[in-house]
Amino acid sequence: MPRLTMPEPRHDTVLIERLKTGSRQALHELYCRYGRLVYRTALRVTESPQDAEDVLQDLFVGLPEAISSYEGRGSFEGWIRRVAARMAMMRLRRASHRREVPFGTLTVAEEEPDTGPDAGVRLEGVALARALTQLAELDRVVFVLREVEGYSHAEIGAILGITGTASRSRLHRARRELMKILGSRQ
Amino acid sequence: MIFHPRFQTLSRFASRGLGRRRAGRVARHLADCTRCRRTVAELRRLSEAAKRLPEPEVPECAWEEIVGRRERGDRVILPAADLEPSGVRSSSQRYLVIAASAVLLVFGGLLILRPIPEAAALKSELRFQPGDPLMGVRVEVEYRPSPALAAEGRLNLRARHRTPLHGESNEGPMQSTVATLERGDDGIFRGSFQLPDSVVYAAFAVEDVDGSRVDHNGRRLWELLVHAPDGRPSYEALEQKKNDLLGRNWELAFETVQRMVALYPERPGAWAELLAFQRQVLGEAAAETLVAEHRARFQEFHRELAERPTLPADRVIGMSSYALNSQDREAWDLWTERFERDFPGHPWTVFRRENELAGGYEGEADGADRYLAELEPLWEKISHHSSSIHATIIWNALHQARQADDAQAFLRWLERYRKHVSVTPEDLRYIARQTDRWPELRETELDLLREALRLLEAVPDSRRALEHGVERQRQENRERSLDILAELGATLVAAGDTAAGLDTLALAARRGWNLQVFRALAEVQFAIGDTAGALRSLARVAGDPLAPGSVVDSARQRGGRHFEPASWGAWVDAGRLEMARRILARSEPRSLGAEVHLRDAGGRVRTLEELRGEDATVVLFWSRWCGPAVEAIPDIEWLYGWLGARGVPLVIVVDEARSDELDQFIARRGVEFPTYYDYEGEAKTAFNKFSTPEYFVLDRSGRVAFAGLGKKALQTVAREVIALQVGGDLLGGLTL
Repeated sequence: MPRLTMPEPRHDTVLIERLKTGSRQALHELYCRYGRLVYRTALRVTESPQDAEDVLQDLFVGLPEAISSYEGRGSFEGWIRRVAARMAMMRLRRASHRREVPFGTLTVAEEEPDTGPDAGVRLEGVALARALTQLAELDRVVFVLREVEGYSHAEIGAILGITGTASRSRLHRARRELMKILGSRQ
Repeated sequence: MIFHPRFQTLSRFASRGLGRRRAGRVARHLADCTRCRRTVAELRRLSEAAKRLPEPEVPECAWEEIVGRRERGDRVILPAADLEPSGVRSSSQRYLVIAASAVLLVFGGLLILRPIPEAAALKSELRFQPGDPLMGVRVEVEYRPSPALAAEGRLNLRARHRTPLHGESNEGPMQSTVATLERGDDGIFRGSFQLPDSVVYAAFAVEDVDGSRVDHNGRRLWELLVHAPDGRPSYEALEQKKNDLLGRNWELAFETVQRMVALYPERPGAWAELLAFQRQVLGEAAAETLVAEHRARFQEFHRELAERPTLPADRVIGMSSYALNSQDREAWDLWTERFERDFPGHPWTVFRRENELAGGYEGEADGADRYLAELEPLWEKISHHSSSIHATIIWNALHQARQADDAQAFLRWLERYRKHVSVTPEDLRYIARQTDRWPELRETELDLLREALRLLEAVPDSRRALEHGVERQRQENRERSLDILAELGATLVAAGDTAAGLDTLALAARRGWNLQVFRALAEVQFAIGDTAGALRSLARVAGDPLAPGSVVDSARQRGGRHFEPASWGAWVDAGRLEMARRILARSEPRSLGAEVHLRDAGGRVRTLEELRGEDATVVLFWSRWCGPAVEAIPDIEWLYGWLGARGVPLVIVVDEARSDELDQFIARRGVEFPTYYDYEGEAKTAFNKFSTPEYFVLDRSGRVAFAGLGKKALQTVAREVIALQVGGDLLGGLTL
């Protein structure tokens, strides 16, 4: 299995042009650059490792054909993450979506005593991950896309099919709820 | 008493989303308020924690799976539409974006509905407040005018309203003027309108008060989708948007269906639609690779929904359609039966039964009679309202009444047609033709034809296309009336009123160029013994490139001694000249305004100027993602051959970069015409192309003389090219 690395800032354009001519090598390089981001975004939206992997696979299976709809107006990274988020949303919205243990790896982190230098911060992350599962679905997704993934409200609107204003008010609601949940645990 | 800022304000303050003045006010409050200070600190801690959520591990073997799936021919259409920010490509566009941002700052919450398109539409903007309306609200409008309308004091906003009951056609009385926009001191036009309660989707255009100059946003129009309370465009709004686009821009309709699936993946009907579009664009063979995926999804739906005791009607219809499109006969039967059981009074159930009756009695001597008798009680169940399904049932019943030779039943269903269906001239003409087997209904036939003509003569606001000014619609209606006049003339003659029939046909022949009119006129002229006149009429037909070759034989045979080859040749030439004159009179040539560079199949950059022919050139935009464009391949091949034989170049422009995938697609479809690649989008901009297959005929100076859209319109290219060639050769001094 190829190693996945964080994206490099250059050469996307070259890879995209090569992908347009059907190059598998280009697809592979784009996978190495963006596979992790796609998976992470999908997992955070769906909360299901299985669904996230399906999104990862589907996105790269469909990318060679879909690449023609990317016209280079924004960064490719932004585009592919938005596609991933939209695909993840589609899975989430299906009524049959199965809820799995969210952020699977976190369970272990919480169970074992953590005494490292950033232990407090990590545990806060764990508590937040737990608290997120108690939010209304759309509120949680807006919070994740905005606070964790760093999307603008306009982008979130485009992904979820809501307005930027609606995204903003869902974010406020999510924050208020999270503070209530986390506050009651302390 | 201390007034604390609202939570939302503190939340925005915490993420530094407030303006300077408001932020300053909150900061001053925080200096004295421990409670709010703690809230802000918690909010910031929350944001910090969010950024530290652990990184998940990517599953192993995902890449191998991806490679394996692609090798097996698996393909996935990604929901990538509308995901890029609107571009800032030129200085003028940059200015507009800045201007738009400025307005956004002033009128916070205003929404630009679509990315600002290029060329003509760059000149104007139409904005709605709210941009995401709920049903039945009042909508404020702002219009930043195109130069052509900027000097007016007042403008009209026209709309085409769509309710969930509307079908795919944009024909009929669907348009209205919804608001008057008054010009403000800042040059911006403003007004408002009330969205009718049942409307879920509306398309808009702006025009002057005379209806002579129309801003239709480069034929894209503007649009408003009613939203659900959760902030999404409602499912019905998206469905109606798809319907509205189907006749205008198939690719955008496809994109809309992809959006329906993205926003409402729990609706089987959306997936059924998607599969139907995919089949059309990918072809049956390629779509098969997707069918497996759809079947798996259908099974998931089935497992989830089949056991539920109650389901809404649209969900069950969606399952039936999804089963049908996935070619799962067993599931189709099951879900259809369930629908009929659960919703016996639904028009769709009646439609299904109607189909079963027609199929069951087909071929039996008294089948049509029994069909009509048994349809009556079914119809009673749904006769109190109307929908697009009603129209189809009525249409089928009219056909069966004709089969049964039952004039009374025909009249009964005709009455129902008038009550339940938005009458169109073409429908009236078709129905009139169906009555020709009953001499006693001759007056009804004539009345129907006259009614159709009256509809076309009147040009009411409600039936005028949003893209057309009054005069343009009048011209189009005049063209549309020719077939009906031909029918009326022939019917009058058949009714014994030869003089009136002949007058009608002569009027039609003067009004425009229509082969059916000339043929009908020739028939009457033969019948009254005016053989020379009939031959002249037939010669007009023979001079038209769309005429069948048998016209000459027919003329020779029926003309007898009156047929002289020399005179016939002169009449044909004269006919062709007349055709050229009439077609050239319709032309309003415009220059392209910029040089267009294209890349040929070998990768060389060519200018359109280099590719142009002497008398005429045809530029045709084509896309493999557009169903009608793919369907038109045989017509394009015919046109390529026809033009080639006359030395006229056909420049086929593909709106994407060249790729192995595209080459494979072209090879798989057996396409043999050469294609050019609009790699910089210059052609699309210069021609202000909106859809595919869209064509443009250039004259000898490279100006756009004619344009048209769709497979049917492609037929008229031959006439337009001949008009330009004959115009050059025979008319000499005629300038476009």
